[in-house]
Amino acid sequence: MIKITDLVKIYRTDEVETVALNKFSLNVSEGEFVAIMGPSGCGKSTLLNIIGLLDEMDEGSFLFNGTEIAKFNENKRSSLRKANIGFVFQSFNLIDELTVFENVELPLVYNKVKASERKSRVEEVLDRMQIMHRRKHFPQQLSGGQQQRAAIARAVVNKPKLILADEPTGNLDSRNGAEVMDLLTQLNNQGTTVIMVTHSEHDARYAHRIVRMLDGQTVTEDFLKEAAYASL
Amino acid sequence: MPLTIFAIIAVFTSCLGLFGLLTYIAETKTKEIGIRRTLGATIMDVISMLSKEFLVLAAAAIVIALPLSYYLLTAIIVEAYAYHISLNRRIFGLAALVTLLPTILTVSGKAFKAARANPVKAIKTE
Repeated sequence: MIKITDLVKIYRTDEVETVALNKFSLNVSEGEFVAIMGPSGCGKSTLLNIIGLLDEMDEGSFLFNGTEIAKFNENKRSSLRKANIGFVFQSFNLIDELTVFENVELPLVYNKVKASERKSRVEEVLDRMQIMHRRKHFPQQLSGGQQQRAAIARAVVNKPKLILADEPTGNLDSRNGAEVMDLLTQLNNQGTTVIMVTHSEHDARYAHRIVRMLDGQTVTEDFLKEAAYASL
Repeated sequence: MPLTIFAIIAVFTSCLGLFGLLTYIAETKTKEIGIRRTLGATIMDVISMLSKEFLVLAAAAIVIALPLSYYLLTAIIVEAYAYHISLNRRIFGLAALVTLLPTILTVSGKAFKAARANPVKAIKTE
């Protein structure tokens, strides 16, 4: 599903050049659950942003479902992103001015889904995340665990093929964290590919494979288990 | 003549106020814009979202201001001055335009800039 070869990403300011990713390569098959670990500043988040088509790369090749997207412009990346990728962030990134329902509805709005169908799909996913009773509340009125469940609901409502999670349990206590990890595992079992950046060795154990990074490169890979749906 | 200068200064000052407000609102919405971009909003989506909001506000302001200014102008100018200009539609239309034009220019400029910004940076701000 994802085939990254010799990816280079350099951040430039007036005086300093920081190499965030240095000839980085990674393959992820459909249905896999991959955890990416490494110290702060090793390029994990940069990698996730590039895989998520949010950020541009400087060199290398990135095949997404067989399509080379290295030279894609913003519009093309945007349409590929909204159809295929769901995001879960450490800080939830819900929009404070919108209710839970409206937040979860957003990806469907941008994918031009009809209003009647939006309602049933949002309600179905809110039900699955057990926050249906909170649909009219605003994010600030929810607990951290509920906010992250709302964020996951938003990430999956459009049935993306790939979920990218950037330290999804970073702002949660261990009980809520475990719930979020169970949800991600469930989604993965249903066939969604998951790539997760984490600092937590415990959370990484949920994955099929742990990729450890340092200074923009892969240091080691641990294969933990076979992916149920993985196919190359 | 001095009155004209004061009028110009008054219009200019209110435009500055508007510009400041718009800049502030666009700034506070940086994160929201980033999130929306991440979820698939195109640059055009963001521009139309921001512009719509501000233009509705500007239109509301005009709807409130026009009857009010008509009332005050007839009450003050027409009653207090023996020699006065005649009030016609063109004056009110021009006033509305003078308010709307800087709004449209500022909003589209600001919205375009906000929409183009890298969403990665926007969603990082906490």
